[in-house]
Amino acid sequence: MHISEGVVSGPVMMAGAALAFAGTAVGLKKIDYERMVHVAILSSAFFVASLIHVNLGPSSVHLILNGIVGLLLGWAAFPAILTALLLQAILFQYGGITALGVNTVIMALPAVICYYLVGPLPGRGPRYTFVAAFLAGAGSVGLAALGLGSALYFTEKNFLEVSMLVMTANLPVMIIEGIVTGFCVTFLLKVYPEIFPRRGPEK
Amino acid sequence: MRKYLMTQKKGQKKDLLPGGTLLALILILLGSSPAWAHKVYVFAWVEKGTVYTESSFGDQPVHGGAIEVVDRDNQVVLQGKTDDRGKFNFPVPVAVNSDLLIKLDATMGHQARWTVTLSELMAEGDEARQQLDEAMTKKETLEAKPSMAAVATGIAVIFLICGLASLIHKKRKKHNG
Repeated sequence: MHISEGVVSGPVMMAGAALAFAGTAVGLKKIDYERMVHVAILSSAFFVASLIHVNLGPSSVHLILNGIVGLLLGWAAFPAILTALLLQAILFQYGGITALGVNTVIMALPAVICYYLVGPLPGRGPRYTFVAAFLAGAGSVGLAALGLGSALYFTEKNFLEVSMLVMTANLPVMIIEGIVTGFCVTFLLKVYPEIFPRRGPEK
Repeated sequence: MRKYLMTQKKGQKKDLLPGGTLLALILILLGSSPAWAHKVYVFAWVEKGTVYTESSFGDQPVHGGAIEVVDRDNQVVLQGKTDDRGKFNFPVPVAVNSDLLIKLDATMGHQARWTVTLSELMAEGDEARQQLDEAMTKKETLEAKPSMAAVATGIAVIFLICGLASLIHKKRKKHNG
């Protein structure tokens, strides 16, 4: 899912960096500093998730875990994912420093969208929890694939083809991520419910 | 949700490690991981008048990746596709007079490049052998898998950043009363 160095055009790179900066700024403002350990745990989980990969066709896909990061962190997913991606680029040479902004938006924006769409559902009962977490896991990968297609469109100009390819390649990952997120969230709600964001009036 | 969480909290031990469950999950996933991969690279070397290229996602070959070879003036010298083992070979072009840039497009934003220098293309005898040895050393570096040390460093850095952010926030809060 990581866009490599030098793939996207200059304007897309700049737009990605600007959006990532804005998202990170909002995230830092909304972060609950009393619960920084949760941000660290989820950022670490995201950091190592991409090491688990599935080889498909000419390309390679891997676990992303942006759904669970979004569900549990909300806007704080932006700084958490940005940090993890930066370290992946430096330590594993995944993606690239110049594509960092675009990659952050591709993975963090779906996480925030899922937080708003299905975030309130976990906790309303076991069935709701699993379905909501599955949707967050699968949906955030689907949206990330769509974002990747859009970013590549401005470079390759064949949006439908690229998007279809990305979506098809990531379909198994969507299902796997949905199931992994479903089980993780259900389990976490039982053993460590404090990790869920405190919903209520915005600070 | 609050209500549900409250009922969940009752009857459970409070001293559960916060990160324990996720850490366990990470370790399980890492343990079952079939491979360490996701960087994309193309590597090329010259041997007996042939340029050999190898494209990989770490330790998984790039199947059917598009290869484009261009010269110094960005003129396309030749194009091709990698085979099932991520390989694509071609004879050293007769009229070559510059370095050759080998571009790999493994689809979905995965791209990589490698430059074969003119001296590599033209080398003969002992010099060619030496160039080949150097190329193989570079190949080993490229193929190196992310070490556990790199993973541990990354996690440590994340926790350090979060710890510092938390500390700064606390100091600010104290300062502001």
